Amino acid sequence: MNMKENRENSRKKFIILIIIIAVAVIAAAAMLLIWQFSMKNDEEMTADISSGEVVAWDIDIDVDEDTAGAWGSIQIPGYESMTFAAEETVQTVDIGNPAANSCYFVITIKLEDGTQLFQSGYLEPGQGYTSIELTQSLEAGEYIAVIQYECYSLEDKSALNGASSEFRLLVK
Amino acid sequence: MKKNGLLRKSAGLLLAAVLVLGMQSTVFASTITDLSETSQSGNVTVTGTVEEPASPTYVITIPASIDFGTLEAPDTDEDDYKSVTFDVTASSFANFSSGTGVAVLVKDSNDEKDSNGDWSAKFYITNENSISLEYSILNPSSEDISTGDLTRESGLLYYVFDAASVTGSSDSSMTVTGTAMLNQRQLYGLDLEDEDSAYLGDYEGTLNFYVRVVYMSDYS
Repeated sequence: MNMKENRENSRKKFIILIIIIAVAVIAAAAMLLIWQFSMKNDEEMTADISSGEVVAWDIDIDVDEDTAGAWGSIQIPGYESMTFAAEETVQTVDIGNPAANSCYFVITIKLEDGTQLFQSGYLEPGQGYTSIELTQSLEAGEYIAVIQYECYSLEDKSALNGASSEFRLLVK
Repeated sequence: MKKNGLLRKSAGLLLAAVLVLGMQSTVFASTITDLSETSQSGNVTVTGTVEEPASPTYVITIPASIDFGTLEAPDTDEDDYKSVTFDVTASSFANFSSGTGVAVLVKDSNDEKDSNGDWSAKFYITNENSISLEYSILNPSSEDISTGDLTRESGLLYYVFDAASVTGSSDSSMTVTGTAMLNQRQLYGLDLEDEDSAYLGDYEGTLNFYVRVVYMSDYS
């Protein structure tokens, strides 16, 4: 009788141990999932989500030192035209956030009909691109396109005034 | 028999744990693949089959924000405007043809089309309780731009910089000053003494400045 009870107790202990291990493993896996999800969100908020290599970038501004990059103002580079290669997704560009600015830029290039071709991550002042990869290639032709600048505070990424520059996109 | 059943249940629990871990591994693998793809696209060598990339042809300097400061309800039901000025500067114009310039249009960043497909063409600041206060933008000629039409859904015409005027100035730049004006009459009669009033709080809003090269003759 005692031997049977002992065997029964041992079996119960073994099962409880297995359950504890299983619960611990599941809990660990769930925590890993949550951690990775939060990391992914952080990356989306801060990392470059574009297809392009961020490089040092700036522009010569013909304006008084007092006005250039003055506190509370944002310099917006405008374009009359850009030229892209037809049937290619990788394009050479000259776009970025002037070094005199005191805010992040998120740059989006899109066609007049709203088709998004490219979006950068948060660009610090003095960062930009000389090469980007579009979401899709374009057929040869002339398009109306827009380079949109969303501006965010360096301190807390709160939204600031933004701007959009319309330009002729020559694809050939 | 009973022992086998318990062992099967235990094995099932372990299998579930292994499956969860397996899912996690897949997520990590997916992430690694994504990083690899990003890295590849970032290192693609540009073949140079296109022309030299177009550099910016002009720079427009806009206000980062427009701050009305502290608003107060007027004592009487009459207009009580609070105004702040802001500068927009055009500079670094390059290779502009004669008779061209840059048009600056302005729209509330949160402006949306109504059920009829029309933009409101109005400007608002909104607090955390979704209470909005309307304000106006006056162009450098002190005209309320909301009286104009939204041009090509891009914004209300604010000003057109003539390239000849910009490049011909002593410092190759030109600054114009506009005004944002909020009528505090909107707050008249509201109980702002109650600390739980939905009207209290910080109001925020942003503008989008839309710029494009134009023929001056289209705006004369």
